Amino acid sequence: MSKNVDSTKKAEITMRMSEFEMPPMQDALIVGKRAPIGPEAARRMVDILSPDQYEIIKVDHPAIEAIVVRKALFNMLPQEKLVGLLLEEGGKVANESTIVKTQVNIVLQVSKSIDL
Amino acid sequence: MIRKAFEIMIKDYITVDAFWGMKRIRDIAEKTDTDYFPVTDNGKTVGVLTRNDLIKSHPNRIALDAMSGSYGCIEADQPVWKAKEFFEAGDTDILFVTQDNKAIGVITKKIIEAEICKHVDILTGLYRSDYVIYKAHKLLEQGSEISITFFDINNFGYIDKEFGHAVGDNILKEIAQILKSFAPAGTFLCRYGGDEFALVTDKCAEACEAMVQDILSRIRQYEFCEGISISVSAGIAGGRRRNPRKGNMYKTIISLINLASLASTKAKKEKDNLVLGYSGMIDEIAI
Repeated sequence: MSKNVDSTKKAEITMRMSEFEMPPMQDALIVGKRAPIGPEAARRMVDILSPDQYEIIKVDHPAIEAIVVRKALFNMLPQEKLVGLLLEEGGKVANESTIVKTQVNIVLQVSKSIDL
Repeated sequence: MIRKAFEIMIKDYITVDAFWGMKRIRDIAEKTDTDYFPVTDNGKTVGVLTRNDLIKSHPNRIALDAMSGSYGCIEADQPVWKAKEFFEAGDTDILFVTQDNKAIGVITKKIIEAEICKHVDILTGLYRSDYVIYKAHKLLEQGSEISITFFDINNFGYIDKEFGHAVGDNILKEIAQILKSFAPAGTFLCRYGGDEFALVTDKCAEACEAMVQDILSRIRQYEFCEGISISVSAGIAGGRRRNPRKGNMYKTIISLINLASLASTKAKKEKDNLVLGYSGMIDEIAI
């Protein structure tokens, strides 16, 4: 005895669009020692999109191999202070195999008084 | 003759591009049994990827982010001993052999270890003559004084015939051990031939006399196997080069060895078994 079965195939499409972030890695990348992308690959990738804007800083840390930082940040904060902060905070969330994207907002507060 | 770097190098070595991924390089390593890969970026060597890098790196990484090895360069006509010194200095995984500033091959630690094994005397564990010739050459290049002392076991042929070759071999081992123990630091020792040993120092011949006398007396006092009484004769030849850059230094060294060897033969007839064969400027002594 034969039986006819009707079947249909449908595809449901959902799109989510947003503007491409330029460069795609924000202010700093904290690269783990066994991360799938190494610091040089990350820097070269971003160098093609945003030439000469990022710098690799190799660090002596049990889990982190290097930090790729947007050079412009060093205009506002000395390198060793910024790297120290990134390692202190990033070290708590990053591990050997991760790459952590970091946004750094620096607000300088200046207060001066002048003689009138 | 001392072997040169180009004689032991690998000519067909594999380089990998800085942007190649670990997976691709691992496949090559498995197929070729290669331990070290020079990494090139736009044709320029930028580092060395080691087998250990391949094991511990994430498969997605590029060679540039995984390489941890270091490299050095050696000219093609440099002695293999020089290559050994590079590796001993500790910071080199691979040596590029260059000619006219172009890499023509590579030498790895494994290759140099295999080569140096050929220059070690199995019985005594001492190096063969190539080693002291290289060290003497190096001292002359540096403008240093050198002296070569030749040690020759007295009546060794008789010992071999009377007590057998196995006993003779034991005595050679014991003599080598005494020489090793009492040769001062910074001197270079080898088993030159059958029952002959050579010691190169950076001192003038006269300055070596006391040291050699001390070694000879320690050998006389030593209790050898089977209670056999052993004595050794020694001849010293040495001096300084007037013109460090001129002439064939290897010829000079061979001449010095010859003079020391002849002196050790003469010393067999001397009461203290020691003869100073030559001391002075050595520019003119090449045969």
